[in-house]
Amino acid sequence: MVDILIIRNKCDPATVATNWIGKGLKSHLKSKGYTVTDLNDAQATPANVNYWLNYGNKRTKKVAICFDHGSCGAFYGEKNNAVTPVITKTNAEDLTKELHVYTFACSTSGNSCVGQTAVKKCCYSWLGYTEPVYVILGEYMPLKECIWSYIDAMVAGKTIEQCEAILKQAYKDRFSLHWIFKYNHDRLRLYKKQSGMSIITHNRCPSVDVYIRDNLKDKGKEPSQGSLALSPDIIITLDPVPNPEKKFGDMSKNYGKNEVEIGNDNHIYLRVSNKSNTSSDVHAKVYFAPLTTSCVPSSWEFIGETILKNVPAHGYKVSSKKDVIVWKDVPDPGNIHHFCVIASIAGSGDPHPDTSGIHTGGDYWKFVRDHNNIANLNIRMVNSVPDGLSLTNFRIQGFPSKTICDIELDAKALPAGSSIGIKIRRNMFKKGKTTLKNMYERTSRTSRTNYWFYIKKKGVGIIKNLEIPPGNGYQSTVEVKLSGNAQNDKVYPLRISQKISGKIIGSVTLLIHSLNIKQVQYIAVKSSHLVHKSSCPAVKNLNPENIVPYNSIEDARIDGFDWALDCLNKSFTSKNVSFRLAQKVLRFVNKVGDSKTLCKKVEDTLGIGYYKGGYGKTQKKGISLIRTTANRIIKRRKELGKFTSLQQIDEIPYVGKDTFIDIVNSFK
Amino acid sequence: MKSNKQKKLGSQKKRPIEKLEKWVNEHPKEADLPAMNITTGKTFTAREVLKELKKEEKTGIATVDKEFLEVKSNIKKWLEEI
Repeated sequence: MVDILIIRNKCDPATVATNWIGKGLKSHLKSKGYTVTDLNDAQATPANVNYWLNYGNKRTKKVAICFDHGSCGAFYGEKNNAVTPVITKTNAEDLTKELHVYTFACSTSGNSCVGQTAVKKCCYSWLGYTEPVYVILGEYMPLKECIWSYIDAMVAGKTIEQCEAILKQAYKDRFSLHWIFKYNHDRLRLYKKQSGMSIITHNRCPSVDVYIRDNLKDKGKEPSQGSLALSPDIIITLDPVPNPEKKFGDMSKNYGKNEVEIGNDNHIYLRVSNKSNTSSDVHAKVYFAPLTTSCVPSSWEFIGETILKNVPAHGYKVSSKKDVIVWKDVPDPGNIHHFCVIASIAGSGDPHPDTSGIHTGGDYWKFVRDHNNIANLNIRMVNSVPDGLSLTNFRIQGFPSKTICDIELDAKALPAGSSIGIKIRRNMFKKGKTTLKNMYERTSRTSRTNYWFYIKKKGVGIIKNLEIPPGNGYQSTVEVKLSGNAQNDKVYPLRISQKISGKIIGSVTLLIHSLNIKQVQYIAVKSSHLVHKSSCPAVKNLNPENIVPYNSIEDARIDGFDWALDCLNKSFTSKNVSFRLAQKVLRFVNKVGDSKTLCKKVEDTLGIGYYKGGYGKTQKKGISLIRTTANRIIKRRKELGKFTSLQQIDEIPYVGKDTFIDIVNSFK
Repeated sequence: MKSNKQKKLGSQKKRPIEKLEKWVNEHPKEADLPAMNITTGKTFTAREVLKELKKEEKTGIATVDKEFLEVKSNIKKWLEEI
């Protein structure tokens, strides 16, 4: 049994060329985890093709790739060194049923030809050409890469429509290279049984039921019970994990705090489960949206996709090093500082859920509950010392028309004595209509545009009948001042829900991790955006409201704190610099008039103490950048137009690591 | 009747033979690659087609081979796009 069959004879000059297009394909596909049979040259006989493709034995499970002669009536192989039909209108039903066929051959996709006949019967898809096609003799890589583009898209789990679009684009991208690219492009035609199929979801494998959990108690039952926003199966890390299967292998655990570092590459690992009696490949797509009470698909942006091969029957699989989805240069989400991350999965006969009917947050959360193929991470983990203060921005969902809704703050789990407040735009609060339940207005904080409401007594506070004007909604902020009685290393959840007519249409969960200042390794200072060792004198006797405790310097970095110069003056690269500081440096370096001013900035800011701490010895007074180095930076800026990332400065030849560090440190 | 502006624009448009010559000069490797019709087995290079076009222009005698005519027509369509 194999996933993919390749047929490529070699008995005349044309097939010598088409045969070469398939050379190396088997090992390429095997490197992606697929099993492949390659009927090469004399092996491409009618008997062998029948053996591997006939429906009764189902020896080929997903795709037939056919590089050879073709005509309206047949696709050809070879017998006794002569071109011989192997897939014909007569045997197409048996040989191509429930398979995807990809040909680089003449005329099989003409009207009423073998491709159309096969799909009319029960082949899932057939891509071919309506007329004879041209091949370039000699080993011409641009043609090979173009033909392979469709195959690469198929094995990446893309839909057949996406594969077709990718192939067309690959042809278009090569139009200037040779006329045959346009010629073949104009004769390409795809027949398909239905829309939205991929080789992962539609094939000859038994149907399965795969799922990704909404919470730790979720066993894949539909509708799911419990929280919908706390998927433990979406795991985000800043740095790649060497052995994720081992590190994230305990399904009873929720790993990581899932914060995303803006401006850097982040890594997303998934865990998927299979309820069925047979194993299945699983295709996963991951999206993000700004942190909002609702996560409607219209606000999603695609991050990436992956395939987890052979998820075992009644078992689960964790993304391997190869399967990780890299979220490149995470964009700045603006005022809403955080993200929701959404994962959708599909297995054999168990496609991605169709999101087209979702229009409101209510539709969406019902959809998530009713489909075990989709999960959300719509939480934010916040570290806090007892008596510490944390602020989180999020979006209250809006709708095309004016909507009346309630905002509920469920703070039952927070320790007594905690203070929980929420900022609400004044235009949403309608006097005489909007009412408060277990909440009060703190008038000292009321401004021209906002009200601040606080929970009166430990429990649930509700703002009833807020009127949300038509549109995308409004930014809001939740403020939590953790009680001085909070226990060390305990996580306290606070759930903010948006309700319409008593029904939850969306929610955001904050997990407040209480950490005792005396037992943590690092203390970050909000006002300076710097993190210090907890033993550093600079963080003694600070107001608890101005500090954030951390046990890992990585976590502090992800939250946007940079290493302080007094106690953490050590080597770093552009990847270790926060988005905020990077923007500050880039603004200056892009604007600075000449190298002299750049040198002066460093000279004026970094004193002898800095060099003593950083390099272990006193350097002469007035040390600065070397002018030639500064000149190189200005020259590179000219070449680029402007710097868009710190990495570009870090990579300038002969600038050196220490100089790069000195420049960045000048802005701390 | 064409305006002066239209006449000027018209004269600026390159003829297929000129465009193909320019492409051949810019892509000498591709110009010599034989492209084969998989069904008929006939091969042509772009340089050969250019040579034929030039000969045709000079002598006024065109090749009447059906497949060559098709390739010529396809190359002309392609030249409109690049």
